[in-house]
Amino acid sequence: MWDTFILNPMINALLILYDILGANFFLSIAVFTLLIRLLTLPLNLRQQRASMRMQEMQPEVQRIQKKYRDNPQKMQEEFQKIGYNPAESLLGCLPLLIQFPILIGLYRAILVVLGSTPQQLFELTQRVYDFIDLTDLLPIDNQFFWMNLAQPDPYFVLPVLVVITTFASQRLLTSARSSDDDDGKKKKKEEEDNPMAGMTQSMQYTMPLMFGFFALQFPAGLSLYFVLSNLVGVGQGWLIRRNMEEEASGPAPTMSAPEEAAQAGGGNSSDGKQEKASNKKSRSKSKSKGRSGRR
Amino acid sequence: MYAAKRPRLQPVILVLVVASIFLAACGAQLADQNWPGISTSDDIVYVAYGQGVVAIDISERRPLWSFPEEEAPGLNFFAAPSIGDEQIVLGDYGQSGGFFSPVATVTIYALENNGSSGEQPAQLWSRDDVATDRIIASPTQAATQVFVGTADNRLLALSASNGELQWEFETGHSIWAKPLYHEGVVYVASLDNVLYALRADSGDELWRRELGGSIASSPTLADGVLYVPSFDREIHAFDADSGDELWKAPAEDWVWGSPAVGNGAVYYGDVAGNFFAVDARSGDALWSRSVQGAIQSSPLYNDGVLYVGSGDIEGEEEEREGQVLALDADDGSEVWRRQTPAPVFTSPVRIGNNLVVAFLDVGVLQLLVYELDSGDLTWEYSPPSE
Repeated sequence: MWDTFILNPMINALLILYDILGANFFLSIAVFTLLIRLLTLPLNLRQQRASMRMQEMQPEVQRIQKKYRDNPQKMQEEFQKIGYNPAESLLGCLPLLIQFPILIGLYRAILVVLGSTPQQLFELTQRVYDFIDLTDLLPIDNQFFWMNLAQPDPYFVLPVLVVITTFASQRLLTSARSSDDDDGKKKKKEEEDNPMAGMTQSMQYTMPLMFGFFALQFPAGLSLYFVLSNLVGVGQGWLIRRNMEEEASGPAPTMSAPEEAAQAGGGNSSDGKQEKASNKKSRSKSKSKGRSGRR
Repeated sequence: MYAAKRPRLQPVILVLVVASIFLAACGAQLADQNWPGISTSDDIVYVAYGQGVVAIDISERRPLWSFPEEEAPGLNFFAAPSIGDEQIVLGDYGQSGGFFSPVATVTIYALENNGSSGEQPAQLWSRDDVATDRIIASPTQAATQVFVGTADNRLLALSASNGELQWEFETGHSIWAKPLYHEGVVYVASLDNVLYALRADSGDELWRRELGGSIASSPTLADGVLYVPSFDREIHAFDADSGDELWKAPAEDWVWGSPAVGNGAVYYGDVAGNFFAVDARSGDALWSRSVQGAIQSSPLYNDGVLYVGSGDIEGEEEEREGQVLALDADDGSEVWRRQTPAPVFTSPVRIGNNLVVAFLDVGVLQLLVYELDSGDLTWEYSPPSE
């Protein structure tokens, strides 16, 4: 089942790409990566948007948490009103998690295609579709610069790139407010108030390290896949972020009647800060509603 | 406060679970696997079977020693050891540098050849700085030199006395074929489709011939002619001195194992399970037949009989079986046949009146000894499990 639907198609796709792309296995992996990203694009887009939205809602979420700390039921109601679902905070790392089956399949596919041992090459002959003439494709060129794509990078370059690009792609999903939050104490306080956000923050650091560790042991070809995939993810995330910012900076929404009334009621206050905060809050709310509607 | 702290453990747990799944899924594939490599000297067979090399006296039916003496986790040996008068040379598949190192150390060892004394052989020298990828090809010993083909595309010439690197020659891809030495010339075949003839003393190239497919096993030399198996679905005959192609003969699929030569004929099998006999001078077909499973190893010719190993290559590993066939060299008719519990992709060898067959049955070495003429099973051996 696994072999028929995951491993063998991957092996044959890599071989076909290798044939088409002038017997360059690096290019074969690169184009394969793009195809995988294309296949998982709808899911990735949805998750990236959801993750960014969760980050943007954090100020409002924290305010509700603080206000209804002793009344969880009311807190949930308020969360529902602004369209916040705590479980969605975890969606940011889902694109990474769903890559595991792909990584496992690709790990074996690379080893089998590159046929590093006679038995692996023998196994390859059993997995190649009839319309591919393996004799013409062999031997698969396993060199890419200083690396043997079937072995780990001996100079640590790819593991470092894996860590950096994984961190960058993760960071892009979770940094909506991080530029405003240089104060470590504030961040810590925020994590205590919102454990889910804390978890996302932790994942931001643990996932890159974990994948970097894998890259120390696994074939360079797999690490290349991961670096390229991350770079595509970073570009994709940047585009989504820009899109969201453009949406956010669009025409200011009109206030709802209750908000106007509330503001009118507090009109005697001379505290400009409070007023500014209130406006910001209402914008945020409107924005949340708008996005909830699209979902 | 408790509610705020608990979720911080969750990412760690999540990461550990995911990592465990990932490593469990891949871990089974991490171990290098291959077929056992086997060589003989007098009454002894030397078998590289993964975790080590074992020397077994077939006539006395007793194991003599194993190397490494202590179990070395992560270290694999599959290349057939090279047996010389003074020393035994072997190479490993490399040992991982550990969790935090991507670099594997590949080592070539020279052990004292103490015959059938049964004593653990002393290590004469070793080199762990000349190869960067697996030693898949069996090394070859000449008078004062050792030739080692590596999976990192190089043929190494080492001093037989101390392992010093004398020269190296780079090919276009991995070397899986045992180098062949003859009268000052070393012939080496590579997966890059090329057969090279090099001067043994300097490594200078004498000639090269490119074929239409990879060459995974060494040429067979007989009467000044090199018979070369290839994935191009042919075997080729070259003049050993000039490199001129004399003839080529077809197969139906890849010819992986070295051909056997005897009785004026050349015998070879392909991975589709076809077996061929052609005239050694002209390459004209004499007879052919099919056998069950794939033929990957070299046939053994002895006194008018061919011994051929084959095996299933489809289905789950545990369910794959193999067979050993004795065929009449004149017409290919079956003399006897024995089923084996796993594919036989290691060439059968002869010790006296015994035919020795080695294979890995789900990772465990099994050595079967048959009486040469009758095919009766006379002894079975597996190394004791740790």
